Amino acid sequence: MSDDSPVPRSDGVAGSETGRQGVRRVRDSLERRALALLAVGTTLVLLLLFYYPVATVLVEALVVAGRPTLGVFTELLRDPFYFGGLVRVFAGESPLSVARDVLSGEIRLGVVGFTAYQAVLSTLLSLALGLPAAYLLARFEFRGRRTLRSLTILPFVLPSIMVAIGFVATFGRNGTLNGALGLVGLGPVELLFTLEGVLIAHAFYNAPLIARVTTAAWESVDASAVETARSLGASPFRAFVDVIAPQLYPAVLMGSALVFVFTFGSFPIVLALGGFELATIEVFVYQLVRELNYTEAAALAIVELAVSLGVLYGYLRYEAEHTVRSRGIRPLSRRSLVPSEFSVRELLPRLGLGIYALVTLFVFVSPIVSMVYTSVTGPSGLTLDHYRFLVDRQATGAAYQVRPWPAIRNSLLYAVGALSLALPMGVVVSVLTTRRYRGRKLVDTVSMAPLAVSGIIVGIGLLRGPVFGIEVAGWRLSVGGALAIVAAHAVSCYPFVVRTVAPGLESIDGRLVDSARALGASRMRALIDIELPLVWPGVIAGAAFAVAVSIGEFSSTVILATGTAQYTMPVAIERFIGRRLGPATAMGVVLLVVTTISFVIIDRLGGENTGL
Amino acid sequence: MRRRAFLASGAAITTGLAGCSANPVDSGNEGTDDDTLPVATYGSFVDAPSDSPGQWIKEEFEARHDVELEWHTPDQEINHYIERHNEDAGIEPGLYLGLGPHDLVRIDENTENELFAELDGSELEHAEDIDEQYYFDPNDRAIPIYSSYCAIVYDGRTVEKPETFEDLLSPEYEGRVALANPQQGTTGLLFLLWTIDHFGEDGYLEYWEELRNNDIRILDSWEDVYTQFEEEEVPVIVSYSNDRIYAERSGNDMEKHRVSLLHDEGYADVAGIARFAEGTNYELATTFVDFVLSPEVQAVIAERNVTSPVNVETELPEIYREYAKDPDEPVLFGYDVLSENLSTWVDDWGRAIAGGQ
Repeated sequence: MSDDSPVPRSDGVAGSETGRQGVRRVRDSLERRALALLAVGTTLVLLLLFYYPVATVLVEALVVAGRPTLGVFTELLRDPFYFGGLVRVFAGESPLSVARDVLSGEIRLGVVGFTAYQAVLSTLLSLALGLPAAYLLARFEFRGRRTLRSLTILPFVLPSIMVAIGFVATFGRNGTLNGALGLVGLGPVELLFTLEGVLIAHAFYNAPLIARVTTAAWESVDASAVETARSLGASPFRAFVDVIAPQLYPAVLMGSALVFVFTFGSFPIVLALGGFELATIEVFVYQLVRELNYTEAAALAIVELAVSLGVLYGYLRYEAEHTVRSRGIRPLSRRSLVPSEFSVRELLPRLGLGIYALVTLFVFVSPIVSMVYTSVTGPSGLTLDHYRFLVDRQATGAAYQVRPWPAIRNSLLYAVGALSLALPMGVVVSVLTTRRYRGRKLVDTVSMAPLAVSGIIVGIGLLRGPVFGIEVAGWRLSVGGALAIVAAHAVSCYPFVVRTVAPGLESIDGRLVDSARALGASRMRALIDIELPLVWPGVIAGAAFAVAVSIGEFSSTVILATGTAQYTMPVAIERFIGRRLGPATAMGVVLLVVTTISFVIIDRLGGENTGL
Repeated sequence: MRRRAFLASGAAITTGLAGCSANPVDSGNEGTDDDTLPVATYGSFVDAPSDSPGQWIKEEFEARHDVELEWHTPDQEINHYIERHNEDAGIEPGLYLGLGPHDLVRIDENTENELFAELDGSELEHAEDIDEQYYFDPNDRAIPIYSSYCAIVYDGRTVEKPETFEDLLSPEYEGRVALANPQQGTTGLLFLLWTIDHFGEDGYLEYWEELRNNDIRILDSWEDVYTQFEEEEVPVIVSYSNDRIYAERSGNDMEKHRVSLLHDEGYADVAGIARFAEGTNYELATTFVDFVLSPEVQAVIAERNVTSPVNVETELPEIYREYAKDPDEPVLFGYDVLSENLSTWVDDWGRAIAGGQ
């Protein structure tokens, strides 16, 4: 199946005019079909492995005992446990007076309100920790900059159980932070089991995302526009505010919208570091699913979905109105980290970056280092026992046990498979959503749903649909195992490709494509030869995210894996955790090493001129 | 060129997705012939990083009976089979190993006709040696195979031994006690039921609010709790009474691993085995249940699972005499009480403790 393989050009060979036209016609029709085929394929995969399975679960909130009803929702919206003060707003009270009561602590936020509240705070903290990194990576030149840039995404793939271990070791009572504070006569601080602790963990996961997308935008700012502003007498600060910043807002907002959605649906890390009193909606979705109370679980999941998609829709509307057209291809020149002179202007930003580096040392580096350290310590000091466990398990593990090498191999295979599916899917959806038609932002929002649906709901849907199979004429058709996992991973990571590619496509001057089409290129040809090269940095960023999401994916994988032969690294880590932390952390280090190598490879393959 | 390659491969994979399987509808029991016995259980029974009984059981049973034993460990555990049962998707395993009373309650609330069939004790050689107190299924589907007790594990080097529930409310333990979320983790649920037994239906929430005021840490899972104990973040956790056996074996500091049975009680965590009603090979399933109940296998399960046997004839290894702690008074709610109250108790608890601030 290679409809889109290029037909060799008949260069230099004198063919008749009509012959050439014939060839071109065939080629064009093939290419036209290629785009249509890809669109159909994408739609099919999404329907089969996402929308239909998820719908089978969500419908349980709307159809009870065979009858459609909204009773479950009215019940839910009246429940102060979930909606706190909002219940009174729904009942018709003035929002202002309710807001006053909430602020004065008279009434509670409710679980949904609290979840949104912590998600907003988590997003702000992720911005605070992510933007300086983008500034450093986009505006300064130093040894290892590209490697550092490709590794910013690393925290994104760590299983929460690993992060919890690293955070306890760093921010716990006897952690590194209190040790360091003790040295300078401060502390101790209690961060675990507080909202602050949860926010820092969320920032650990999500600041890298902000950093990555902002860096990309910053590196695509056209230097000539800034130079023009400067030559017209604008100060560097004015040039930044008037020329650079408007080109960064969409990326920053996109990152923020995604972070809000992720932290709004956050589950294990909240309880592992914050405790049950800080439970989010997702905690209750999980509990209800576990109790097999699908009616209420689905209703809550729909509330979750509505809030998340609402935020994404708001962002997409903004993006549509704030696209900066015609991007340049000459990025701003980066400055050396070593100051060229000792002036306030030179020293101040670098001093700020120095303080920021200290913060990142604790928030990002220390938890990861603690994890590595845990993997080489035992009851009697330093040891390689935990790695020996991995080797032994590999050598003697039975078929029904999880072994390290298959886990590594599967993770990589699934990531490659998911990538080769998610990239075309993402590009196709980007093309479809950047065309002009009414309601395209709605389509775009709905295509983002995989980011916003509760993981456990997707899992149950997959189980009931593809895994158990559908009865057709006395046969049960089922999709399970590796293929299903790859497809599920692709579905969960393709929205990242859309979000990194679509804004670029949107900003391409439409006349470029029009000229190509007028000269006889098919839509597909124009996409491959003109548009994609112009947005290549976005494609590479999307690829990196896709691989990260695939390697880190857990909830669908465990459900779709029909046996231990299909387990991945995060699943192995979860299986290896027990009364000792060693084996799991050793596996965690393996995951770190494998993903580090993967990201560096992606970055190197991406080519030097890329924005990510 | 690369761009073309990826577009091509993507399209190829999309069409290649037809890698589905099709089976005739009534194929729930494919592969269950006379020489294979598929048994479902939870993951760590066959695949714990320390030691798990699954491997030994498989080898021993296969050697004795010349059949193949297949372990199935779906991540959703028993819920996976409830789903399959309700969707009519067929159930392959003949048995499920590792059911508790609370699982049975959930099964009966959520399945129409029988998921499990009765196991006839008169056909089991070892049934009469099982300690009566462990039976938890009035309908005789689940036969108990091992038990353990929920207990407090505390770091004897840094804190005093808590002797009672009330002790945990004292300032000494403020912010220093952790347990797993009762809605998700077994140990947390056992502890919650234990407090209900102790304080009664009307008093338990009050006790929990006081625990909350004393800053008790309710974490996601027992693994998170144990992590915080290992890292010396909390000195008191809700875990199992056999903790010291494990500590001794892995060369941990025995002073750090101390066990307290509050009020000399312990809530019993009983696990049973039950036969799927769809299973076809009744004889082989019964043989396996009897095998698991035999004293020799009971001892191996106890040792590798760090649990206690239910067969009174079992001879336990030396380490048990020294380090196992069994309560004078095991606490255990029967099936009937749980089926009346369990979900209400857990929901009420959740609503009382989760803030939504």
